[in-house]
Order: sequence, then C-alpha cells, then structure tokens
Amino acid sequence: MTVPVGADGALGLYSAVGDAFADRRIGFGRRRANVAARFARFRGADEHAVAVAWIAGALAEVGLVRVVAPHDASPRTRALLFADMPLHGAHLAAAVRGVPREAADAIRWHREHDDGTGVPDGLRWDGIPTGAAGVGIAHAFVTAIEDAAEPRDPLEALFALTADAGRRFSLDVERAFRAFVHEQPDVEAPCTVTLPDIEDDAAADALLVAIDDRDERTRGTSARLAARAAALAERVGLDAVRASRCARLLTLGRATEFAPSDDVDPLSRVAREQRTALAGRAGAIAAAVPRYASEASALAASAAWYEEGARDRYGALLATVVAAESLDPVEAPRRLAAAAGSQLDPEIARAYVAALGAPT
Amino acid sequence: MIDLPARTRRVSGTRLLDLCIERGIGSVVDPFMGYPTHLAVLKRHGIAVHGGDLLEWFVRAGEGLIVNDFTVLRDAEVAELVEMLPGRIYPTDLFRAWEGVFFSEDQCRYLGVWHANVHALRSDGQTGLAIAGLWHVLCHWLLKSSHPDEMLDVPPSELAWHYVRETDRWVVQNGKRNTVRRADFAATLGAVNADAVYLALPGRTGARRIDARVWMWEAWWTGDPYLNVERLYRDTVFGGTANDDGSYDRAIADVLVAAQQAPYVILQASPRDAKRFEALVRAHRPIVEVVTPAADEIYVIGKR
Repeated sequence: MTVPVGADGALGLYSAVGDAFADRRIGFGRRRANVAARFARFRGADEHAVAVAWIAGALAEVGLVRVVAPHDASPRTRALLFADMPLHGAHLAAAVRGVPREAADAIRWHREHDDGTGVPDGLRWDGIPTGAAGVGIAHAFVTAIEDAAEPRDPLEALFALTADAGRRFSLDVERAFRAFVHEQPDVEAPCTVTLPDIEDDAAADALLVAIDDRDERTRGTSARLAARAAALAERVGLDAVRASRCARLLTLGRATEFAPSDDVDPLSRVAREQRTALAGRAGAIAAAVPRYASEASALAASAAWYEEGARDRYGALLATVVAAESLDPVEAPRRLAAAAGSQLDPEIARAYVAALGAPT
Repeated sequence: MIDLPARTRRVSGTRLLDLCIERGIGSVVDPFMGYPTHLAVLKRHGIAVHGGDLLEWFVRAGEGLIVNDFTVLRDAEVAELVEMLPGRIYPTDLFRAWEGVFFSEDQCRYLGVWHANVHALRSDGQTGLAIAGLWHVLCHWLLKSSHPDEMLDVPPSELAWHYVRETDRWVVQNGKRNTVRRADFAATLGAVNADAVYLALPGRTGARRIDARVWMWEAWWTGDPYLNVERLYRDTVFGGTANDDGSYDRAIADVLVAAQQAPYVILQASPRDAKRFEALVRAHRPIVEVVTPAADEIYVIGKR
C-alpha cells in the first residue's frame, strides 16, 4: 500500500493507537483508511473529500483512548461507555490542528446505522453524512476480511455486508460499495491521498496526554518522564531531544484497555514482566509509524535488565527514569544505586543518582 | 408503492451536548421533540431533558427512552410481546386496510398482534421501549416492500425481537427528573423551566409532508389505520397558514416568545433559513451567536 503523504506522523500514530485499543492487528486503521479513501474516490468525491475519508478511516477508533470501563463493568455499562467512542474520537481529531472538521464529523458518525440503531446519536437515513457512511461500511468490510475467527476474501466479506443492507447500511451505500469492490477487489491497492499539514509533535503529545489521563495514577507521567530523560541524557552524553521523545513514547505501552498499574516495585521481576509487555507494545506501535520507527528498538529495550545483556543506551536510560519515576523519592537513591550493574546500566544509574546529590 | 423519502433533519444529540457543555447548560427542553434519541443522548450525559410533541407515539417512546430510568424489557417479556400468545384473542384484522397496499397479510396480522400486546404492557417505560423498537420493524418492512431483492428476509417476530432488544441500551439514569408530555409548544414551555430551549422547528408544510413512517406509526398506536395526523397540526401556529414567509416567521416568533424564560434558545437552521432565523432570534434575544459546525448544520443561539 502506498502510504499517503503526511500519514507518516501523528495521523499514523493515532491510527495505530486506535488499533491497539481495539485489539486489532496494527495497521488495521490504515487499511480501513485506504478502503474508505478509494471508495470515496470511486463515488466521485473531490480530493478534499477523499482526504477526509482517509483521515476519518485512519482515526475512526482513536476515541477508545477516552473510553475507560471499570474491570467489573456490566455488559450494559460497557455498551453505554463504548457508545461514546466515536464522539471521543471526533473530539480528539478536532483538536489536531490541520484535520478538517468534516473528518471529525465522519469519525463522530461512522458507527451510525441507516435504520437509526447506531451510536452515538441514533441518526437515521440521510441524517448520516455520506462521508461517515462510507467510513462505516469500509470499517465493516475490513473487519470482515480481518476477522480472526473467520478470515474472508474481499468478495466473501462483501457477501457478509449484504445482510445488513437497509439496516446498518443504506441501500445506496451498500449498492455503491458492492460495485466498488467488484471493480477494485484488491484491498491493498495503492492509494495516494494528499493530506493537510498536521502539527505532528503537538498532536502526538496530545494523544500521549490522553493516554496518561486514562488513569489518575499515570496522569502527567509522560511529561515527567520526558523531563527526567532529557536531564539525564545531557549528563551521560546522549541526545536529550531524542531521549525526551522516547520517554514520552513509552506511554504508548499503555495503549490497551486494561494496562497494568505501575505501583509495584519497579525493580522486581513482576514489574519486569509488566514492563516487557508495555515496552513491547510501545515499540510495536512506534515501529508501525515511519516518523517514530527509529525509536522502536529503544522503547522495546527499555524493559530489559542490564545483567541480561541489555546494551541499548537509550533503552537503558528509559529503564532508569521509569524506575526512578515509580520509586519512593526517599528510597530512590539507595535503590537505584543498588540496582546499578544488575537491573540497570551502571553508568546511567550512577549518573542519575549523582544528579540527585546522593553518594554513588 | 409508498414514497419513502430519505430526507430527515440531522438532530444530533452529541452536537447539542457539545453546545451545552461549552455554555454550562444543565437542562434542555425540546417542545418539538419527535423521536427523542437526541434527548436520550443528552440524558445519558447527565443533562436533564424535557420534551413535548403532538404525536402520541413520540411521547410514548419518550416515556421509554427519556422518563424511564430503569425498566427494560427482559427476554421473556420481549418473547411475549413479539408473538401471539396462546389463549388470547387478537384483533388480527385491525390493520386489514393496509394489506396489499403497504404490507402483506402476515405483516398486517403481526401489526394487530403487536398492537394488542403493547397495549397490554403494564408500565409506561416498557410500552415506550416496545413502541420505539417496533417502529424500526415498520420502517424495515416499508423499505423492503420497495426493495424486496436487496434486503434479507427476516421473520417478523425475529425482526421485532432484534429491534426491541436494541432499545435497552438507551435506558439509563442521570439522577435528574426528565419529562415528556403530549402538548403543543406553549404548554410544554410553560410547564418546565430549563437552561435552554432547543428548537428544530417543523417545516412550513410539516403537517402535509410528514413522513409516512411517522404517521403510520401513530395510526398503529391508536389502532386506526385511517388516522389523519394533519388535523393535529391544523390548529397550531404551524398549521395551514404557515405556508408563506410572513406567517411562518410569526409562528416562530410565537415560539420564541414562549421560550423567553429560558436563558438560552438554540434554534437549528438549514443554510437556507439561517439568516432569517438569526434575524428572528435577534428580535427576542440581546446576544446572538451563530455556530456552524458543518455546512448543513447551523445553530442560532440566543442568550437572554
């Protein structure tokens, strides 16, 4: 698939985070965006509308970032909370400078059903904007193709959609989509879209803050980690900007519905197992987005222990600041010094302890 | 063949919610509520909502979706609702007049059965949910009669089951008193105080252009397949004389006067009407703001 210009940055990150929260294979959002954009073009939309379809397709599920359901929530409570996912997604998208407002609206209403039984508004008939309906059917189509329990080829997936004609999808949209798939059955066919300029760093930061805000205990974590990492990087001769960026991106590890809490002893084996899962997820998401792919190895390495051969210096730096963030400030100098050479890179851990003014 | 125009106004609860949150609005009254999913969305997000309408089935649906905080239809109750119960005598020919015109014989029989079963329900909440759910069946059947080969054949009771179960998720409490009433706008606005009055006004020829699916459901609920809903609107300010701009504007002005007590009035307009509506609101409110979140969606917001 040709990656559209501009999708390599924040939009790609939003899309991948949406995939992670929805527990989909990373890249699902881009494939949905690709289908939605090609379908819009097939229906004769102008280039702006095609770009809107791509953005809405990519960001359709990013609203899950703001859906926080308690562990013990009943199915009804969960359904109510998840009904607002498109609304949250629209708000997140609208806050990104450069994203057209039509894209935010397409995200808001892409789960509406033609018969009025969709979410979040229960819109019906042509109350649902055409663009949103296009993203909705593209979503259902790619979901049917990538259904883990029953993977389908495009024509089989199309057959699955026809059952919902007149209910989930309007007859016009379903008819047009059928013609589109018959004419262009290759889901991975190239699609070049000219996207608007996006302020990537600001948008990415906003997303990471939203992930932090899911849990009261992690609120503000990415900013604190970034500050610690930048200061430590200068002390040990690493690039402070990159270290800060990697520290922020560690938050991507919590892009899952039930992320483990960070309140266990960060230098224990239990914590290492949790950290490995978080770091692996952060690395996988970053690796899927060209702008952040270079940080993926450092993110993934941030959970490794020094005594087991971890030698990525940025990863070691991240491991140190994560441990420092979680430890009791009074205990931190002693515990970090004790972990130097075993769990943590000795040079980096000692530099951190020295910066605290404690004897190393 | 019945004409099923897809035209419907986009009345978005989440958009209204955004407008309410930005202005600190905690309660909303909609005197022309129609099918009240938008109020249900507001209710779900903690806003106290009040609605009014002249059509009884809208109000009944509102009792299920808006007033009702807890009651749902359990599986066994839905099962009893959607099928003929043994031992009960049903008015199976009640909607015979529609047979062959809009519906098949089997469908007409089910409409009679459901009419009896819904009227036998023992709570307003359940009745409202059943009316709301079964309305989707009517819409489905009418659409399928126009496009028989493009939609799946679903047995009536299964389709009814599906749609009635769907209504469950709208039932939620918000810790506030929410009301609906069958009344004209003046009675509704006179009965409740709210922070904002939301107005999606009837069209100029609203009574004559009312969607077939809407009047048919009123006819179903009242058990009179020949019901003419135009009479409900004839004597209102939006009745027969509202066809020209002057009469229509006077009707809107009457509504704005009735809404005077509310700190905010939010009037949804189409691009065609926006300028005129803005001028009308300016005549009644000192502060007027026009919010255009989408090209086809304009809100004229007047503040007291």
